[in-house]
Amino acid sequence: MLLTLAFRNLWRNQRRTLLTLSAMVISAALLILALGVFSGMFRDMLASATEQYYGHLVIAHPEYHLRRDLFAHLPDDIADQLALQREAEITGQSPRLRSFGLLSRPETSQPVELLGIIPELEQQVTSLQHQLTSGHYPSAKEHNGALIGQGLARKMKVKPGDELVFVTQAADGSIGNDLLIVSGIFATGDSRHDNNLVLAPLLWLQQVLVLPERIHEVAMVVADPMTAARIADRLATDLPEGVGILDWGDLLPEMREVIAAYDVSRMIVVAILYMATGLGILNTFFMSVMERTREFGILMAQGMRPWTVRGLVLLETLLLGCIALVIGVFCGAVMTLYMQQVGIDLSGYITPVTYAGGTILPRLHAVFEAGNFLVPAGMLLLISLFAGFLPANRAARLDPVVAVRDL
Amino acid sequence: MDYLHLAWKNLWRNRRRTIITLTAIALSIMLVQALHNLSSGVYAGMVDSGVRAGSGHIAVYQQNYLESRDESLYFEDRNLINEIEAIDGVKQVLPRLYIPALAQSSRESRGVVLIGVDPHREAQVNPFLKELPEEAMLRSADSRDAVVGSRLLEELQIKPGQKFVVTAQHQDGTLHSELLYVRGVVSSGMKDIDSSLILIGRERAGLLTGSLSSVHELAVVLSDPGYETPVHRIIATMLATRPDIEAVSWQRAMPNLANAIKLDYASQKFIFLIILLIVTIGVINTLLMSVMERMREFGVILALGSKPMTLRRMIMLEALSLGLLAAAIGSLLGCLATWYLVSVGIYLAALVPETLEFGGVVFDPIMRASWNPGWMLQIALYVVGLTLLAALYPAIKAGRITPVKGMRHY
Repeated sequence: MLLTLAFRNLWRNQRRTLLTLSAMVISAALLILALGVFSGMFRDMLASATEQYYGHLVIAHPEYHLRRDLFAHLPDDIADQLALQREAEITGQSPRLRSFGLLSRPETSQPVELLGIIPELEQQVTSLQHQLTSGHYPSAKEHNGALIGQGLARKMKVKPGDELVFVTQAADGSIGNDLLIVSGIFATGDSRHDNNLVLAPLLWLQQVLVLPERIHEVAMVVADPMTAARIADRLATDLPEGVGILDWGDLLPEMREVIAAYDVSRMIVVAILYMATGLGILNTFFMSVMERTREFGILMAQGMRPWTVRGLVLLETLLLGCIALVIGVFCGAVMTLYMQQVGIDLSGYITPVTYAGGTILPRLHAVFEAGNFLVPAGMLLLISLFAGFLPANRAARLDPVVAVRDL
Repeated sequence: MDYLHLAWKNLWRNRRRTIITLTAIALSIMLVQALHNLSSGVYAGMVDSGVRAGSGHIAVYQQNYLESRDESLYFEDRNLINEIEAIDGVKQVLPRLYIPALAQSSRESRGVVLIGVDPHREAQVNPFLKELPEEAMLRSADSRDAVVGSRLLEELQIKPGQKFVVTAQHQDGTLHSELLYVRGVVSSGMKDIDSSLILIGRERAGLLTGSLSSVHELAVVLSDPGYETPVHRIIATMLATRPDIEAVSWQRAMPNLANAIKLDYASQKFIFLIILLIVTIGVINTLLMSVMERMREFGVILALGSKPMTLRRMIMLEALSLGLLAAAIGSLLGCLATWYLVSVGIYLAALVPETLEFGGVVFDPIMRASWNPGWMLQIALYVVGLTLLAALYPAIKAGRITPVKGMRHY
């Protein structure tokens, strides 16, 4: 009964209600869109560090990642020893050996990071096979086929099929060098990978470094990156002595902080934007309460309790908030969907930006994330209740005798 | 004048409504102004430390070096350093050589880019060197001293004072090695810098590649970023005799930093846009309500012989006085907020404990605003314009009333 009354009251001044509603819908929908795009940037940033390089979880010697010590290695069947393939949450795992050195041609040489990998396993972890600009991903048959970044290829002026020499210090103290043949060239947009990273067969690198049957790490991916820390904690309990596990947050603490800080900054942005909307709601309901002073007087004179009057006004604002929420979330979802499917390409205006150990790609691309809907929606209801509070109090405090005289 | 007086009085007939609308507009102005000043202050700080460690406000390169970073594209300075340093507004010119090399200790090796610098010039401006004590600084351009990133030092497993070897390709195609000693350690908090930085004297670096008196980059650091355009022009005319060399702005030399700022500012502008949109809807609502309430009154005024245009003008004047008042109060609050942000700032380290890097530059832990009076005025006028725009529909509505209909309204 009170609900019907509230709903009808809302539409007594259609134009005013619609204008207020539109302000609420616009703020909610645009906020959802903006948050979706911000989340998209963070997702790109995380992906550039994990899906193009680290993986979400890394098993290595506990000392290895502190200083990437050549001698902190593990046996190359460590994954089998730990029976990692039985873990359902881990969707890919790749054993790797890492080396730093110079890549040379007669005219030029460049410092690089070289990862020794098994091609079919590495493709489960990183997505470089989808980012090839020329050539092909090294196959298991090529014993010295290398995948190199686009920036590096440009600096060294090489194309698929060309030969390169990799020079580094081997585990026995000698200078190790051997020939690589470029199989393919990748472009991730992240300059640190594109200018620096080389993938070569694991067996080849084991020979160059004189580290037969040894690896430095097993990189793994999981379905949801946000669960990586929990899985790492669980796996850490059964690891033998001399083997450690890290999640991407341990490898990139600054990125973990930024993503955690995002939840706070999202709250602040939403609160600031809704302040203006809230003042609009406050204004509308003050007007609507003042107009109905006489009416409230009569209702109270007939025995309506002040609390019921207060409830009525609050119900009106809440109802308006709910309507705005439904339309706003719908519009926001449609715009987010558009930005997810189509997006806006900014590569003509800006180049990729490094941030907190990752790279933000030059595109506006939204992702769906529950928090981006829940926070604006929840805050919208809160702010409508909050804005309705003063007018509702005002209505409840009316003195029937004075109020009925109001014209 | 009479109309203005009337409009002002009309505005205060419903005091609460006007105050609430005023608050909404004023708070939005304050917010937009304070946020903009804060970010422009932060950007200025980032650019300042970015250009000192990087390319300078203006950088001089051999043509094509910037795109290819090909180490064979060096040029002879031929007194260019002193000539540029003599230009008004130039604080320091930093000659640099960038040489890709392999750094080896007895246990480990890493691929690095050696930066050959002029120790005395660099020490005064480079933020990485500024905090090093005298005994950790490179002694001279031909010494075997090296300043090394802290993480790189750890990865090479050596300590200050110990030696390591760098190997690079000489311009004749053979590999040359030089023995270096770790003199100072840089710990910037940026993983990329700390795990790759090696600064050495430029003459020692030149010995490696056989390019002794040459440089890859002259980083021109200005005493004030405002001098950028005139100094750039002077350097460009100076280089007219040497067509193989070009001067570029920091935005081109460090696209990462320039784009980080662009991207951040663009997302901020989007938020500003939403705020202003919502405020405009609020103003339309308020003015429309006040017009609808006064239908009867307008009917009477029209019946007494006023022209519809007069009514319209009066409503526009009401909007104008509302907008001007809000702009004045909002800007005042904006000034107060900016003053606080300039003198106290926001202490970021309390919120985010890790060192933050953005666009390749360490975030200053204290975010400070900077004053942009022109921009603040612009945003205030913009809001006045929006208020007038928002008044158009209510004003047209009021002008369409016929006396008969209006007077029936109550």
